[in-house]
Amino acid sequence: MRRTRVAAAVVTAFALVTGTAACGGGGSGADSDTIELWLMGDKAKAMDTVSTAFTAETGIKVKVQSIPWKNARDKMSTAIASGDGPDVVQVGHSFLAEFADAGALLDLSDKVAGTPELAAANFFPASAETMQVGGKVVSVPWIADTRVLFYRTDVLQEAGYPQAPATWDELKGTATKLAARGDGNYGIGLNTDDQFLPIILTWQAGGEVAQGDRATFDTAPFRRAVEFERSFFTAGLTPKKAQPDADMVQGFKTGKIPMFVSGPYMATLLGNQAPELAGKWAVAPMPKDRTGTSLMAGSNLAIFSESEKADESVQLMAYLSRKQTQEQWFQATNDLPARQDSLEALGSGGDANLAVYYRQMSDAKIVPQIKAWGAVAPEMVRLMQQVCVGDNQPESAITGFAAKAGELTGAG
Amino acid sequence: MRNLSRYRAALLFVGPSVVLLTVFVVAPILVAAVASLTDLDLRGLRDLSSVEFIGLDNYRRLFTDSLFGTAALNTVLYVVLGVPLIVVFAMGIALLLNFGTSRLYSGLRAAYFLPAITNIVAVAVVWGYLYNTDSGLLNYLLSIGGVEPVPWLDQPFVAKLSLILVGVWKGAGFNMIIFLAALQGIPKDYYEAAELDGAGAWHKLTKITIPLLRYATFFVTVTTTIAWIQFFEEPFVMTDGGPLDGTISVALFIYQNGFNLSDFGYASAASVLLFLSVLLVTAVQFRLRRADVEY
Repeated sequence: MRRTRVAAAVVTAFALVTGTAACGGGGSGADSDTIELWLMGDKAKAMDTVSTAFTAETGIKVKVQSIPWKNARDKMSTAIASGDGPDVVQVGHSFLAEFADAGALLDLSDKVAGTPELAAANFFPASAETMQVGGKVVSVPWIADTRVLFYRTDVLQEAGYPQAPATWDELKGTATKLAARGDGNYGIGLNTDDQFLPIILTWQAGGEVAQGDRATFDTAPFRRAVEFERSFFTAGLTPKKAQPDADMVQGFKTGKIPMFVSGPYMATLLGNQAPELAGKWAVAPMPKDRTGTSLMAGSNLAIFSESEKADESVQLMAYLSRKQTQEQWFQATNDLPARQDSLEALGSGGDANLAVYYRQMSDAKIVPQIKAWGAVAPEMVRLMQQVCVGDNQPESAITGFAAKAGELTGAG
Repeated sequence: MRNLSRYRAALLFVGPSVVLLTVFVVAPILVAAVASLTDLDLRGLRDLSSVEFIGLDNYRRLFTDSLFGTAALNTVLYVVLGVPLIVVFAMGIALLLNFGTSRLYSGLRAAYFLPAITNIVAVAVVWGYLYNTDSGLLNYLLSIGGVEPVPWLDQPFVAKLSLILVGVWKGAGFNMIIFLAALQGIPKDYYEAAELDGAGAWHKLTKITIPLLRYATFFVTVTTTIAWIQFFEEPFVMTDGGPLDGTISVALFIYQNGFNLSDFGYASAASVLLFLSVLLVTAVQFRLRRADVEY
């Protein structure tokens, strides 16, 4: 309700435009042996421990700056416009294509070739796919994330299901029986705000969501996916409203929402906010249709194109990609390693959840790396809201959405 | 030159704010106007040569974008409901608080002003709890009275009203202070004269107080209208425009296109339209005011 926001937006635009002409050099540049690292979220403290060991080994100092996820894009836009950014930056998968297209990420093709720690073969195949944009290597996988099924083992047991549902039919059946408990209880918590679930379901139904640079949603598998997700809403198996994570934790705690689909970060959240549930819940791989494919998400490390310390930055990236460092980082932050052997080793340590993540990540795909995908995501959420909680007919809504998504991606 | 030295003192006082205004208000508006004619995006920020002039394409796109239409309609509703509510509430509270000067009254004054200086994110979190359909306080209170739960933020139209409620709660306090100041500027003689003529409380209110609050009312109306046309923070932090685009405002539309999608040209075009509509509405308000009686 303030004019300041809009004014600020305009001022930023102005600063961006004038800034391009004014600025030349990159990096913070003050210390010749210090590289600047931008991390998303609140991980600076954890990184200080890791980087101390790195400095001891190489003599290169690391200055870490934490950027809240919400500001990630603004910060990078400003850095791109002014040319004044960090040396190494953590980039979420969904930003890679656009930042690379803007020329913000240094071409690492040669450097990666000469650094065994950064070889594509180290990482989950789906993560490794994100390394290249337009034929050039511009980033290296660092943290991996996926989607799995969370469920209350005790509640399902009581309803007669000793095991997690393994297929779409079983999922539907289990959810129906759980919702039949009545009294405000649901079968599962699905979220129309989750832009990834319809894509995951499409993959499972045997489809793809893009061809080359163009989004393709007018397909039978996508229709099947939307119809499947929608059926949970129309049958009253899932709450008909957007559920923030806090509500999901609450519903899981009380047993009202005994299943949901989410990422490993929810396991951390449950551990912190519902410790009394320990032992009463577990994760399982996504139930299958034709396949059990899930999403591979996460973030990569890249070097800002204006950095003057590319070689030192590669050394840091190599250090962070070592098997041992990746495991250490997981211990400190619960971020899952993108390195296969690291997660495998962690999974064999007895934590059943980690083993499930490992299994699921071996059968996961990435969202198409298309520059305009950022514009498709809100349209996807809009579609799911329309057909799941609104009154729109899926047939025509999907046709409209597919046309729009094709248009948004086709032009770019 | 002689003229210049004559006005030196004036220039000295006005100069800084003119410079600031030019750099931080006028120039950005001009830049936005130019950007609105281009396809400026993230790549364009780095490499200006890749930016192309596309004429009025962005504006054409806006007029065919159904989401922009929704945002514009929502914004109209925000203004139409929000402005009168704020004026009535702020004036009402001010009139009531003007009755006394005891400690209770100054305490209440502070209480009503508090929302205006409270951080919007904190506000959003707390109101989010109050509004929660399943476990929120508001629905709990309603359930005691046997009322069905209200989907405060889960149904597009109700969510709009819920956000307006937060906006009014947050905006009324500041405007109340303006009304209070104006109330204290009304000479007591008028009321005494009216009493001699036998006027009751109602007549004093409608014939003296409210007409003499004209300046304050005008000021509050104009500033509040501008604020509501640019309604942004509440939907941004509480609903992100949802559900089903029910709460998206034009300012939020601009933010989403500019900062989430890096479509700077398109966002600039929308912001130019928003700027022009603020200009137009304010001009109309000043125009109507000119026809007013002077006291």
